[in-house]
Amino acid sequence: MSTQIITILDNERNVPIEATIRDDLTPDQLIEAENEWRPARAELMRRFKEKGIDQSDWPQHWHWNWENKASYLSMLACNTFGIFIEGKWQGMLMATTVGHQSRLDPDKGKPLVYCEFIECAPWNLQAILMKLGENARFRGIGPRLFEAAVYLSLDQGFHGRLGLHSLPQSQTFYRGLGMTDLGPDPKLNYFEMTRTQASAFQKGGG
Amino acid sequence: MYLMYILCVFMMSNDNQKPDIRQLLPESEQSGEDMPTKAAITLKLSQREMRVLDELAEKKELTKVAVIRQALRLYQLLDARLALGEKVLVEDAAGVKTTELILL
Repeated sequence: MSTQIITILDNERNVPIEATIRDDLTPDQLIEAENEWRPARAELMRRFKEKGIDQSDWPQHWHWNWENKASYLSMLACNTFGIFIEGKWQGMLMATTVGHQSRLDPDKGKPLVYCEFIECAPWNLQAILMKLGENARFRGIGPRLFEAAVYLSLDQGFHGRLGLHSLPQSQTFYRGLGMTDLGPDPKLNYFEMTRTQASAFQKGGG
Repeated sequence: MYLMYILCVFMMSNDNQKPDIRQLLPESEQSGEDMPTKAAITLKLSQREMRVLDELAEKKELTKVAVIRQALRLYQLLDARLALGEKVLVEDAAGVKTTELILL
């Protein structure tokens, strides 16, 4: 596992702070994150219900469980990244480097990194928390995790190509990162980032 | 049989072939930890195998080492699924006919 220092916005104080991004996460780290996030998710859901917020606005990834994903970690094809601040996991990403090919020209048929899961800790979900009139604790977790996936793709020789299926609530986020929305596949929309888009993403500073 | 030799230098971390993101992030964001262990192997391929490797590398726009890494990852993934008693199925282009792929 390697660790790098990155910059994340402390949304409470509105100042950039140092965070660490770690790759090659262990099962214990996934379990640790899940144990921290599960009660926070439950608490958020309780408040959504309490405030009578329409069910269509509830977070759509509430059923995810990182502990259940730990068995994939022994696969060479499985790559993970996590952002750690103040003793807590703030977000995690799991991606695979085999079994997925680009659907867009000019690289159609060439391999890409497929993002299986990207999740921010419940207290960092700005779009969700806004519905409760609250703000995220930290900002920029998702883009920095996505950036790590782009670097992974570059490292693999995939020229930054990325693919993923997006929950409806996250589609705006991925469009904002410059990905192409290829529509339903078959239920969730499939998004892809070409090498050109990856290059633009990097130049834009992620 | 003629043997062709290629030297594959695998960037191997201690237990897996995972990228070292310290090499990827801007220098200002890199920590000072030691590099993970690397290992080198010599791979002997027949002309036919080498030709296939060349073709795949060109088709997928990957280095030969990257193609071999991809093959290793896929092999491990399929082996793990099959070990669980699962099947690998291949569907035809029309999505009508499904064939079980026997592997390993």
